[in-house]
Amino acid sequence: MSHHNDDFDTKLNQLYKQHKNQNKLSNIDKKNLLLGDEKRKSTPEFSWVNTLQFSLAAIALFTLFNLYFNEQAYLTSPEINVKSAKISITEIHYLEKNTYHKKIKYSHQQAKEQLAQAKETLKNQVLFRGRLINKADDWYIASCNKEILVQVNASLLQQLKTNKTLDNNIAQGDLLAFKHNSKGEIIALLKTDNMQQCRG
Amino acid sequence: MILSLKKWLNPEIDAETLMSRYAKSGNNDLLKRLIELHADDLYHYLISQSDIELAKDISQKTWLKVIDKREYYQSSGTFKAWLFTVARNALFDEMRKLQRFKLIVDQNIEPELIAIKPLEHNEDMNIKFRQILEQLPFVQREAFVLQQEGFSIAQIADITQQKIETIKTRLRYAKLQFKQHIGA
Repeated sequence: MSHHNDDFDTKLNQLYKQHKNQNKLSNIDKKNLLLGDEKRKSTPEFSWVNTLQFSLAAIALFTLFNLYFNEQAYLTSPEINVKSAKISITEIHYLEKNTYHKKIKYSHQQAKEQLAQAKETLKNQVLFRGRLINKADDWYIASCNKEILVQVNASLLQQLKTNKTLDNNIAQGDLLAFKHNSKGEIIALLKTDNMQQCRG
Repeated sequence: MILSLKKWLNPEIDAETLMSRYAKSGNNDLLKRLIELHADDLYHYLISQSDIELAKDISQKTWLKVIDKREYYQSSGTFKAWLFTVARNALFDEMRKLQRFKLIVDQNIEPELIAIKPLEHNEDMNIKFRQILEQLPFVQREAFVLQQEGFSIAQIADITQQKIETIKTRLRYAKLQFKQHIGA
């Protein structure tokens, strides 16, 4: 029985070998087995370095496009920029009597100057008021902001009395208002409502 | 004389030694010798379990894995068993992708006896052999081919990750089919 089985196994083995011989790889197929590896070697690997380079290139391209289109928008829509409040200097170029003129407007500068002027006016208005702190021959009036001491001499006081521009019954501690002419000279000293407080 | 000179220049080295040397050096000549030794065995196993196109594809993938994973090769087992295990895994992965895997899983249920379709009347034993081999269930055909490739039952169990008893059963059924149709 065992001999019988051995014969069968041998026969099966022979048939298997014949089947295998009919299904072999050709020499070209065997060479091709390694061809894949050579192809891989010739193809650069997509390593992290490549990924990084690719990412940086993409960012650079994006930035360039962004800059380019921003520039385009800036050049093609000047009105938006003219209206923009951020512009502080405006140059005006023009011809007058065949002469070239160039004006420079400083928007911010103008605004600053106006503000300073307004502040100065306000300050002067405050200065126009003061409290009489000493009443002797000369009067000493401290400005409301206590920065300036105005001395009004007796001669001027006399002049004001003559002109009837000096209030009667002015006592020490009263709040006085100055009145100036265009030259800044005191032309009147008026007692103001004591309820009105000094400002500034 | 020339033959002996050739042998002297290229002494016969077993696959395990070749692979160990290749793993260390990466020398392509050693790989070519490994291919000469086992490429046909592997291809035949793969073509028995799939078709020509897939067998060639998996063969190439397997050898590329040998190249890539050579550092992980351990000389404890035989190189051939390692090679076939790598190939089998690659084949199964590909079959999963191609959705052929369900068929294999179904066939994993051990059929006690499969009904081989009536063979065309042919006295040619080789043709009969091929027809029976093709009609065997996947798992029985696999066990049979691996045994014919010289693997022991324990090695087949290792490669296929099955119990030894399961392999024995598969082999018994497979051989029974051959015996019935080819005879002693």
